[in-house]
Amino acid sequence: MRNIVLRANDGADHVISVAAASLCKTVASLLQDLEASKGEDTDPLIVPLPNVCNCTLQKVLGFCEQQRAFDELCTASPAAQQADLTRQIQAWQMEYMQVSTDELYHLVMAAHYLNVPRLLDLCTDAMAERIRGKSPAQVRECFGLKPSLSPEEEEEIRRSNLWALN
Amino acid sequence: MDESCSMEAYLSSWDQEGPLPLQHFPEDVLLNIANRVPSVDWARFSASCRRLQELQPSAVAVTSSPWIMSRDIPGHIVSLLRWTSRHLQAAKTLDITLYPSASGAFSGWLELCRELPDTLLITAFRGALVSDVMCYKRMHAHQRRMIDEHVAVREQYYPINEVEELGAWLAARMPILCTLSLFVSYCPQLPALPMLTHLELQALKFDRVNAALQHMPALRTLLLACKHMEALLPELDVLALPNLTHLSLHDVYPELLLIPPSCRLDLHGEAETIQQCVGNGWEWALRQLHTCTCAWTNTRKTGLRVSHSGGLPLILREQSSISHLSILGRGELDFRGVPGSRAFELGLVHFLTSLRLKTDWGASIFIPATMQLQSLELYAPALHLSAEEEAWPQGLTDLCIMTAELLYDTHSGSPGYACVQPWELEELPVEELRASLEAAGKVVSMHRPSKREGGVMRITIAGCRFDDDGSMHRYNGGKEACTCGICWTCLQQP
Repeated sequence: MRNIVLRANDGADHVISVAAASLCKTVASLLQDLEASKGEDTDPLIVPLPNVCNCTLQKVLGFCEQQRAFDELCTASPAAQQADLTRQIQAWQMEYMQVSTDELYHLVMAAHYLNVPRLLDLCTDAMAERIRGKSPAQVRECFGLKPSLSPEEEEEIRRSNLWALN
Repeated sequence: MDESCSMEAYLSSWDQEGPLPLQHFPEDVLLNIANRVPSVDWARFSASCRRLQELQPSAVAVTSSPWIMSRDIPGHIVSLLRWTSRHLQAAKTLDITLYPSASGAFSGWLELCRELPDTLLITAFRGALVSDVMCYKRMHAHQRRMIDEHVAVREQYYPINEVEELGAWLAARMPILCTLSLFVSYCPQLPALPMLTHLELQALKFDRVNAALQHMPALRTLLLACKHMEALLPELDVLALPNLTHLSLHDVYPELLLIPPSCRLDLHGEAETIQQCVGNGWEWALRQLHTCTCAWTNTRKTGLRVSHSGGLPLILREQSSISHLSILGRGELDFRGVPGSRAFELGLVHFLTSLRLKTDWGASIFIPATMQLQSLELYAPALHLSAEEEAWPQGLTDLCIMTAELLYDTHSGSPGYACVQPWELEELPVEELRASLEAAGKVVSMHRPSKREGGVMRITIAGCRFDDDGSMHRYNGGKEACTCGICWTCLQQP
């Protein structure tokens, strides 16, 4: 089987299995194009990913490999063990999402660019969890939002969001 | 901002110091996040940035606090309505719980809604538009139970509220609606909803329900509820709904009930009221009775009492088609049967596959050999479970026993130390049963450490229990994955 190499924007290469790569829909479609142009060549297929940095790519690939392993386990396990397996997956995902806001931000962008729906769902869940219960000022501080509103706009928003802000 | 711009901005932000700006997220990602947080959090979050202000989540879920009603904070209801009407336009699902306010908020809502387009492409409206009458009745329902001998069927006048108008007005603008839930004092005059498949009406009066159901040909499930209070109506005729497969009546008692032949009927109510109100007009419908929930509520006049199988409504004792039975008690439930008699009538147990018994007091139950249960759920602080020899059928797939340490409540109003008694295990080979069921891949949950397991007997405070992790469970039964519905853990779950 041909090797697949994903190249991060700084040139770092990561070898990945076909099954794990297929979880990234962007990579899967790039692979199809590359295979069509290179034919039956046995050289590894190199997929350049200029929008993803090395450490984020590593994290995404970790997710893909682990999910692939879980998928195989789910298929092989009897129905009675499915609940236990689901708990294992949830525990792993919770551990995986123990990242800083910056890392999470890069992860969201990478999951969106590489089109990994399951990772994107996980990341948006984590984002939603971080948003809950925060005031606008806390949100600005936590997510690095620069004030873009005029005082008049702020007053108008305050009035229309009175029910939520007080 | 289009996707390529957001990616460019994102890439250029790599060189910046400090936290990365969130507004570079693509719109679909932001909307994905917006649909995963409660609307109140999204409103706060979106107040921090202009771009976020412009986003319209597809799921709008807003709740006005009942405190607003009592405190009448100026401007809160109006701002809630303004925010909702603005974000309503792109919503696919709408989940609104609005409590009334003294300032005529619903009139204000109607005015704001007139700015909306004529057609809203909303598919699910789970509005709880609580009229002041319903709010008042709900708040006092529990206390009324403490005063009344039993919750009597009564004729009362309830004024028509703006809420009914609002519900009907909104429904008329949602032609592709497939789920509608309304919580109003009167059943409103609903428009034709050709795609509606699920209708849930919680009301006090159902006089117009037959007319309201006329133009809903796709309706498959119908729930009519008058929880805590009973509603009487002369007739409920749903024969004209050919696709109706499930009718559920919660404390709603038509004198004449006509349902299609393939429709399942579920009934939920006080045992005494079922006995009193279900009569000859139900003869055909009762043949399709699938599930029944019978409740016994103690009142100040009845005091604590023992409910037993003789108190089951006659229709249950004679009804042979029922397969699911729930028995809910506030007080002692004694379904052991006395020597020479049976705990359950033969007619009832013949098709019964699922039995659920829940009480906040002691429970005793005897399972006869003829009862071929597949599911048995028992939630009680104190339990005496026994079975006829060979009564534990091979077909039993789900066994859930939820007992707590046995308590002697001091009734003093303040927590006091309670005694702990061993669970009565002699009658039932619990461990053997559990081992054999688990070996067969069945679901078994038993949340009380038994003496045989060497479970630690905890010091228990009456009405509460502290777990090893420091978390407190009221009513004792609850633990993680608890499904009893009465403990603090369950009450905290959405």
